[in-house]
Amino acid sequence: MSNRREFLQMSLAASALPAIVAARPENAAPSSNEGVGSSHVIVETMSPLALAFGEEAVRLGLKPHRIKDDITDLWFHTLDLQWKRGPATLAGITLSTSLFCLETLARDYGMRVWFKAIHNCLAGGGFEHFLVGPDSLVRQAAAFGGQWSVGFAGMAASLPPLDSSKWLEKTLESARTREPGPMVSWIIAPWPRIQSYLVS
Amino acid sequence: MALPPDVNAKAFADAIKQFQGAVGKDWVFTSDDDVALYKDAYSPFWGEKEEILVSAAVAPNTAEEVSQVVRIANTFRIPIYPISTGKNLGYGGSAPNLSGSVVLDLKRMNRIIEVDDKRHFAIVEPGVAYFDLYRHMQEKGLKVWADVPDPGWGSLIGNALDHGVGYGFGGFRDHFYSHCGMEVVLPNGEIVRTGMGALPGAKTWAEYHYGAGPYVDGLFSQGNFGVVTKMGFHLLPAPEAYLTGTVIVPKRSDIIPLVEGGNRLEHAGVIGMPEYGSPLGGFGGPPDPELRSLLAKPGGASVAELEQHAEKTNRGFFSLTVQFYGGEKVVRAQWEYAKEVFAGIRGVKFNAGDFIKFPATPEQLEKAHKVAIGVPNMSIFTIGARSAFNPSPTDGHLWFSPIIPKSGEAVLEAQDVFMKAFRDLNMPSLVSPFSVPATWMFRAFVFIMGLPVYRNNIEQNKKTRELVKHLIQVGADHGWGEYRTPPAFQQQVTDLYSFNNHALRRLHETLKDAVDPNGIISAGRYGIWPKQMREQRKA
Repeated sequence: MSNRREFLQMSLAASALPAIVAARPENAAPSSNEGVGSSHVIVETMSPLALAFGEEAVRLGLKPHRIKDDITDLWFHTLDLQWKRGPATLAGITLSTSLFCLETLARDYGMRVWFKAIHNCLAGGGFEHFLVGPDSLVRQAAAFGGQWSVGFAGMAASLPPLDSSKWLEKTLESARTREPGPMVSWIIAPWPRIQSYLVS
Repeated sequence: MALPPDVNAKAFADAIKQFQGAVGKDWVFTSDDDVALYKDAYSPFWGEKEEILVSAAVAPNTAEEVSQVVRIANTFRIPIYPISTGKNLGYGGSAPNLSGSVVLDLKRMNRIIEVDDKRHFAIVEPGVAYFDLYRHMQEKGLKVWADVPDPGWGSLIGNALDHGVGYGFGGFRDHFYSHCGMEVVLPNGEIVRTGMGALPGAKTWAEYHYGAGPYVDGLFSQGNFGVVTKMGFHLLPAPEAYLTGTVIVPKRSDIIPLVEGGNRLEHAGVIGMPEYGSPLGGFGGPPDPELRSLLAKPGGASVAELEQHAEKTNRGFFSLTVQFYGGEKVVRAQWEYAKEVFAGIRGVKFNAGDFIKFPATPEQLEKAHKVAIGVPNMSIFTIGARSAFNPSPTDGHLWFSPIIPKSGEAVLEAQDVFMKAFRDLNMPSLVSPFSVPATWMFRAFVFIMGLPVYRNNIEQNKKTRELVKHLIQVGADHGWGEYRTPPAFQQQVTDLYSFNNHALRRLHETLKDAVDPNGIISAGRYGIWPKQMREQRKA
């Protein structure tokens, strides 16, 4: 779970970005997503929130990978092979444990989590969406209102250029669906602060 | 950035420059953001000043580059901390014992040197993960299995050097035990090969452990005497078939003959890893509501009451799932033989389990406990891994891992002792009268518990640390020591291995001073500190 401390860390790190980007070698990973759609969209099939996201992603021309909690098959047969050729951008709504695995693996290939929305279930029956990420994505997500899945699919299909110079956190509330566990919407993308990626 | 102790900024900058010269500047990481990746994801000190921070990371590509880095570190007295792939969740992740250390990240060294499916061995570098070796064997159609841990993203070498374990057959699942031969960069930068590898042109480096003369490989496991850059492993010939069966016994005391039978079968090579459980709610399982109310009685439920409940619900008290590997005729005969071994236990029941004739179908693979059949995976993180005791997983855990004897008597004693330990601290117990040990070790049990850590709850983390310290001491008071522990507890754990006025520690220190006089490699790992830090650290 993210918290204020993590966010502050991200913000502090982000504030050092320009100098580090300048030092990045020519052959390193691309600086970030360059304003394109996600190359992979991942949907947790036990989650109504994620399924709705997946349906909208299909409508927008994306081909979601459907997982049931365990990312092993997707990672082993698809992502690992692709990441060994170079970092990529991907988006998903999954259980937090699936994101933990993806995030941990992605680090070795020059990618990190750029944006995440943690969907906490409130005692009163609603969702609290805790958003962390670049200013542009957080502001865009804050406008999703009760249409989170649709809005997030739109974001995944057409990401703006990711700019890590200004980070935001924001909390929203909306109606809730019945979920199998702690759900997270996320975007993983190449990260300019990694000088090179380790696995090839 | 946390500078290494007693190293000034200029010297550190000079060292970084030389590291860049050795491995290329793309492979030296110094930004706060990059070095933050080496923090322990499950740190028990998250957000506290005691949290271990590294100063930089260096990622060499060859043993020769490792050697250069080590020589530079010696020149500048920079402490370095080698990691392979750096996962090690619950036991410290990739964080060192000493803040300011430079992580020597060996992920780029990911070459599979050799896999032989006729003589059943592999030789790999530290960056090779179980997934990588599995992919290689699948792509080449090799008829061998590597024993795999949970999850499968770890390094074969890193896991073995930390005394990691798996789920398969016999000694294979003790990954250090099943290693054979090493290449090691010593603290002075010299490269040595152990066992048969010391013989130029040797044909059996990964097959015969010892070569001639003293056997030194153990020094490099959980140690700080060198950087392992290659290692051989014995592999299991891929079996024709796999069969499981479950033995269920009705009384609590039946765990004693159940373990005796399990030992007899396992130590004779008849079964793979025995898996003990309790139909009443053992390792991670929930007691039902009636049972819960029984357990909640003042003073707890009596054994007679628990056994009556087991009988009434027709579930049995303990179970043992046995796993057979081999030819189809053989495994079916072995299950019949196993039933004979347990037939003398009054009220015993037998349930036939899974049968797979390889190659497994996708449906069989989906249903199987994949690690038991050599398939690395990450399902340990799935929702199914959550237990009734822990329905909402925390941000991480610390493993408390005491080794206890492989007997039913020891299991019952450990239950009683650790339930009391939790009561003494007025904390909810993770141990119940149905708790069973993990059986990864071939010749001992580990009565493992995962204690929660949080990224946003310093007070709770303090309580968890106190609990772990208490459990470590209680275990030692009963003759049970940890087999592995996070850096935060390595000093306490190894202090307790104190026979003859800490003779083992003094031997380690003598060796450390001789082999690594500047104390540059993994300072403090498992309680072995460099000479210049020793007294201060002990204080």
